[in-house]
Amino acid sequence: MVFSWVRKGLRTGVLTTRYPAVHEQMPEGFRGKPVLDANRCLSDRGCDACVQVCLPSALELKQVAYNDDGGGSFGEWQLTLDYARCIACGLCVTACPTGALRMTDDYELAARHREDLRVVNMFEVPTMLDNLNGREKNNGRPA
Amino acid sequence: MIDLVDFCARLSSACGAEQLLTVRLLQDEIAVSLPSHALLAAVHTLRHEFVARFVDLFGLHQSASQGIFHLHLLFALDEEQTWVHLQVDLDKQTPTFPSLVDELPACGWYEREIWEELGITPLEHPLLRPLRLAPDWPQGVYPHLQGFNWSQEVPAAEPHYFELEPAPAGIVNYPLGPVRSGIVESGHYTLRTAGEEIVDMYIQLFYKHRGVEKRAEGLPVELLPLVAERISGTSAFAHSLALCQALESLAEVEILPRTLYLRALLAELERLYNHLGYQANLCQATGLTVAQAQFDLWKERVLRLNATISGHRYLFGMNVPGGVSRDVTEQGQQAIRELTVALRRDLETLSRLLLASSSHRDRLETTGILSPQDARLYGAVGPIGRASGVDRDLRRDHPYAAYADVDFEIPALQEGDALARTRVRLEETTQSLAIIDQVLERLPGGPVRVTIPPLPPGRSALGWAESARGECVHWILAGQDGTLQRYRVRPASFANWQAFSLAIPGHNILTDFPVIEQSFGLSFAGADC
Amino acid sequence: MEDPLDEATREAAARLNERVQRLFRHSLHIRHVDAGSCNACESEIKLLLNPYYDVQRLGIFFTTSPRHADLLLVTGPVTRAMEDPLRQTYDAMPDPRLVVAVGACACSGGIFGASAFARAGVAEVLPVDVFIPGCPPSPLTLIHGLLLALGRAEQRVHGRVQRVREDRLLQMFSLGAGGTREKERG
Repeated sequence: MVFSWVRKGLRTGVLTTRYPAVHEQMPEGFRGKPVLDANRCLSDRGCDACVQVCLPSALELKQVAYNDDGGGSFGEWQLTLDYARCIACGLCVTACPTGALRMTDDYELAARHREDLRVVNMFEVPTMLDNLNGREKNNGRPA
Repeated sequence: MIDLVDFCARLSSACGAEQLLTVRLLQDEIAVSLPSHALLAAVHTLRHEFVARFVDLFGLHQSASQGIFHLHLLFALDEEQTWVHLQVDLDKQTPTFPSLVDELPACGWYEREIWEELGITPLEHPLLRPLRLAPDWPQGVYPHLQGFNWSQEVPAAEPHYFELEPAPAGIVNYPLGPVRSGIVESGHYTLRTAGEEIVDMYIQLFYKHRGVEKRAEGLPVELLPLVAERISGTSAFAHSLALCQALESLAEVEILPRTLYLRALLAELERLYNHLGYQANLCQATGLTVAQAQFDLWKERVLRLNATISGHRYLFGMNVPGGVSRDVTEQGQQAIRELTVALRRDLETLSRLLLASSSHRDRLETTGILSPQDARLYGAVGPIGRASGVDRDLRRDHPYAAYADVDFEIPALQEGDALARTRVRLEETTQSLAIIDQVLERLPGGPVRVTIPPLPPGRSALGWAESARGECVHWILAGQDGTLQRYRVRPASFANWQAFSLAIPGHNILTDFPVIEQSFGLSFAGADC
Repeated sequence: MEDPLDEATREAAARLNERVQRLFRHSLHIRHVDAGSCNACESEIKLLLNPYYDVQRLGIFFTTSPRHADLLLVTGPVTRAMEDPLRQTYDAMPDPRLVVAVGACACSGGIFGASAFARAGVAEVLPVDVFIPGCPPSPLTLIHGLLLALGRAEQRVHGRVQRVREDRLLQMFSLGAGGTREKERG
């Protein structure tokens, strides 16, 4: 019986991947990591479609307020994508109306520091805070 | 189909005619409202006259303002493809109900859970103590009461641990866990041994309780499958299928033909990789390393196939309310066919070698026997139940997806030992391949998804699926705002763990323990959720 | 336990990492602890030992005793009941030791986040050396993460703050016509 198993094992041959020496490609459509093209994003224009469907809150939208000395309160919109929370479900990609979010098959996601997993997009469009009822406000200075 | 009038009459007369309040037939479900003093009689009648099988027992806090509590009991009438759902109104001031443990030993855990989550007391329960909640959870804080917030802070109380009574002279306590050897889930066993022989076992689970049922409350409907998938990641498709079917039932939406077939296809792929991984785990326990590698290779191949078809190795994201999120293309179908042809051929060789390897087989035969009587009494389901004579399978008895349209057999044995559990799963693997073949052959065309309307407030529905480990039953109650007010999940492993402790004592020695554990192949995450 | 790192701490951490990596570079023993996962992460970790991935060829092994372990691999968000056993396992490991958080739940709490039932990830309980995101992370993702911890792979994700300029608006307005965006950008 042992011989039968040995024979079976030998006939199977060597199947081991050569990763990391050779990069292995994931199958097409594999959900690895979503990527945001901020140039297409409308989150500073009232869109929060991706944030609405993100269960782990990997996508978060907030307005960082600052006072300019000319009077009146302004703020900058900030869309954060936190890969430590992302479950790569792809719902944000489907929900995005402009195609700013797309899914990639990138699987090399590890990082040493928590901050390395956060991508913060700050939209340098000063917007009057008063115009936007019900959006989250935050009294801080822009980074 | 069951004769509803006859059912009403017989149940009423058993409880006393004026005590039966309402009986409604919703699709496959007979819903009965009872007062609590009629409960024992009703359960007794259902079990003995109707031969109903106990499935679930849970509580519900209907409303914070009115303080209404309900008790829900679910039975299966498998021969009639029907569910019987009892609902009992409980007293507002002191919600209690008579413990059913004497009548139904399997209820023990469920009653403890109701007590700790809602403060409803099962009267004369033999050993009332917390079940899922952590040792440092304070008394008097009931997480399933309306108004308990998912993310509210619950300060740590003085931890209370259950003390076993001291072992008699000559018996040794052998504690294992919750951090155990190998890449395994967390859970604690205390074995009691007299020399080599195990005389008793005590299980402590629920180290992994994450409050999944609470998490689902108030979420937008499209996000609910994400929660269901993570009840037990290796049964993700089955759980999300049960949930989506419950939502579709609630919204009274008809599912497209192609969806039904694809759902059966994907469910069988999940069953395949689980059963192959199971054989690998068992071979690891018996030290048959080449066999372990062979089965692990097959599990890996199926997972890669899953990634090709769905974008995810564990089929996460495929079930959505109203259908499936993406189609399986011609290319995907061809990949599936190629795999099933190769697997069928190889499985023949591997099964033959496996069952002929005496170093493996001898360790399984007569080991860890779960008697048919115990299996029935403690509600064992799935391949574990079927290896001990509980010949039940939701795909045949309460068909869903496309299972009513395909031919397959449900293997069942009587021996109840580890070898029987292995053989049942080997045969199920072959049957899965047969189902996949038929589904691919008859796959109807058309779209794969419909939109479901907003959930009608206050209505409830059942959803179910047979996962690789057994039947998973979900129950949902829609709140006033279109989200779920209550999400109840009864995964297969929750039922099977109780049966596990019965298979350990009785001519099993210490070194049999890993074999028995792997031969059950249960999920801690599913049970703890 | 999420204090932002200042320059001095970062330097010290980098030096320590270097030393650790020299020691474990080609022979690493891992102790895995499940702190409340859904089981998918465990399934992927187990597959590292199958012939396709065979991490033993990279000098990575799994051990059952924390006293023999160099690296603690944690899955799950850290449930209430597992917090103490997790800490005890870490305390039983001799120095130097690494901690790696596997999966979205361990990195951040995943879909659960901070709740009455569990923490928002391992970093709230133990110092984490490498975070491996994913739900679950595939075996290749795990291999990359482990090699990163050993200094044998490069980190590929980098956190950043990027400022999106006002003139992006000019490009946005042309989106509606479909397909004109490329022309604008040129």
